[in-house]
Amino acid sequence: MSKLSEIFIDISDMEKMAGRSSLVHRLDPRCKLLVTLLFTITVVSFNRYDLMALIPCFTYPLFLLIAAEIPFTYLMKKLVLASIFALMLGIVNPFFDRETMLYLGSVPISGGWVSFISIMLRFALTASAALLLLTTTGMYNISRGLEKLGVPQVFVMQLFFLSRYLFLLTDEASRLVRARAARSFGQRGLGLNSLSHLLSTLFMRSFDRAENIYIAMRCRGFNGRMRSVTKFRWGGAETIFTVSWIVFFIFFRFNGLSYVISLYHQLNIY
Amino acid sequence: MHMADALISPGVSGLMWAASAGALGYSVRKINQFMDDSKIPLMGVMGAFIFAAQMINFTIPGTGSSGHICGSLLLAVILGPYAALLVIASVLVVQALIFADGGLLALGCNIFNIGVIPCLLAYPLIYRTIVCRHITGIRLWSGSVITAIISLQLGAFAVVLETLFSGISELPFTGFVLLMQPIHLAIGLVEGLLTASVLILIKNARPEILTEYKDNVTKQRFPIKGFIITIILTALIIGGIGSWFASARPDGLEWSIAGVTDNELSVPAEPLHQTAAKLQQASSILPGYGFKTTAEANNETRSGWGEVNSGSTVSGLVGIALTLLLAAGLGIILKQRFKQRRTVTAKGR
Repeated sequence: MSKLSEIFIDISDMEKMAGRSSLVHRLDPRCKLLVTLLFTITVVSFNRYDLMALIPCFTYPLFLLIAAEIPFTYLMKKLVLASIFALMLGIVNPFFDRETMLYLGSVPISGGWVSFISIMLRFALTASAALLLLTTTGMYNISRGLEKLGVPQVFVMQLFFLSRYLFLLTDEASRLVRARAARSFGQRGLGLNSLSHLLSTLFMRSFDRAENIYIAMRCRGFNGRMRSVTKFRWGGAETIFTVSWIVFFIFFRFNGLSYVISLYHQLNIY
Repeated sequence: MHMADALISPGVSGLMWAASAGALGYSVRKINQFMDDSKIPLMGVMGAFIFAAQMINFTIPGTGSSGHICGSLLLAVILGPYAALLVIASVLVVQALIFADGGLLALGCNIFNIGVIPCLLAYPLIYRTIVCRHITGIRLWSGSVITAIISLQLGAFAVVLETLFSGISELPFTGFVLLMQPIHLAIGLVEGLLTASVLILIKNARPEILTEYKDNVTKQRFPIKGFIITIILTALIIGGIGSWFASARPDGLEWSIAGVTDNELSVPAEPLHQTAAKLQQASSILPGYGFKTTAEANNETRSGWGEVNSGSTVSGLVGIALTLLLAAGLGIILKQRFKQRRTVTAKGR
């Protein structure tokens, strides 16, 4: 199976997940956007040697995963696929930072390894937050949420059209790629020349399609603005979700968990 | 290459977001001024086209590896720089959400590296100077190749700088530059050749596409001077606010800026600094406290940082267990309640 048809299936899976109905799915997209952004800022603002402080942050993705019933293996698969860049740049840290930082039992661990693990944890946290935002909200609702948050309508429409026609053109491209694979022999016929012909074909088809879409839209009364019947409501659930996560993030950010634990220790001692 | 959230500091991300958002805002204004409704579906479909086109690989002769088109320059030629920037930005948003490429904070960097540099800097300055109004084969080839190489070199260098100033990765500047620039020279060459050959095929089949869409959006030049001044101003403002925050909670921010300029942040902002110091003291007198605040890790020599005693190990493990329990518990309770409510309403009907 070609890469393109896999992507096609993948995007359809995500859209299916976004169409489910759970507590998290039903929240106003604005509050999910806001909380995801704050979460990412919280994670990124930690020092690179701060491993332990990152761990409590897993509460947020884990909560979404369970409450929204997103399959764990699915998320892990996507994370592994996406981790290459962070892995490539992170793996050099142990070579450049060899100073011993802490001992695990009697094994010395260098600062480089600590910051490498920290990079991977950061990656897992931020990437899973982004993926969970999409699988619990869906592209359509994210665009509408962005519009409500003040993003210009041209850009919102762009996002909306892109996510609509993604399926169609990925499907079309995967057919072109299959045909090219059938025509080629080994590595022959998969080169630059055949790709430029393929791309210009795809381009001209897309161009004509855009014209047809525009004509069809004009027939239905399109005048440059999009209208929607879905109304978002910021209610009690949204306020509770947002406020409680903000409180949690502040708590995590200032090492609240370890503070509580050590307080408990101290009480035990006295 | 996409910048990733895992390698970025809040300061760098804020600055790059400000720069990209400024450029996007300017483009939106231009589009609203000069473009009619008919281009809206075209932009959307072109975004989907670039998304699909990036997934089609070709084999690089002689090496056995494969590459794909990036498409920023192609879009800029066909839609004009402003619409192209918007399309690229939307593609990057979708990729960040669907494939977790980059991330939400790194998106500012990515829009700048992959969108703003080719569309608003390289295209008007280089491509249009070379190709002008006479669209000939030689001009198309040379214009595309030179523009693509320069914009990818700039983009790669921007990735290096962003990584360096974030200070999360340990890569030394020279090593990283020597790694990135030659690779992106090759990628730029291929990108230019591919863009040119697609443009020539389009020119042969549908010449009106290149002439019609070229000039209607791009009547005015992009004010590069103003743009650069704005970036510098935002850098100063964010730097100022950032340093203020950094002295309140001394971590990644201070750390990264301190890595670049030696002692910029040693000035204490009195009340904030004192409360921060108090907070740190409060959290570090306690015994069995395994994770000291990061400021201490920085101020002390690092060897003293995590000397493991049984207390800290235990508290670490307890912390992890608590986190997991907390997350799972919250999720399960809410899910149950939601299910109950759902069944109740179903029965009610």
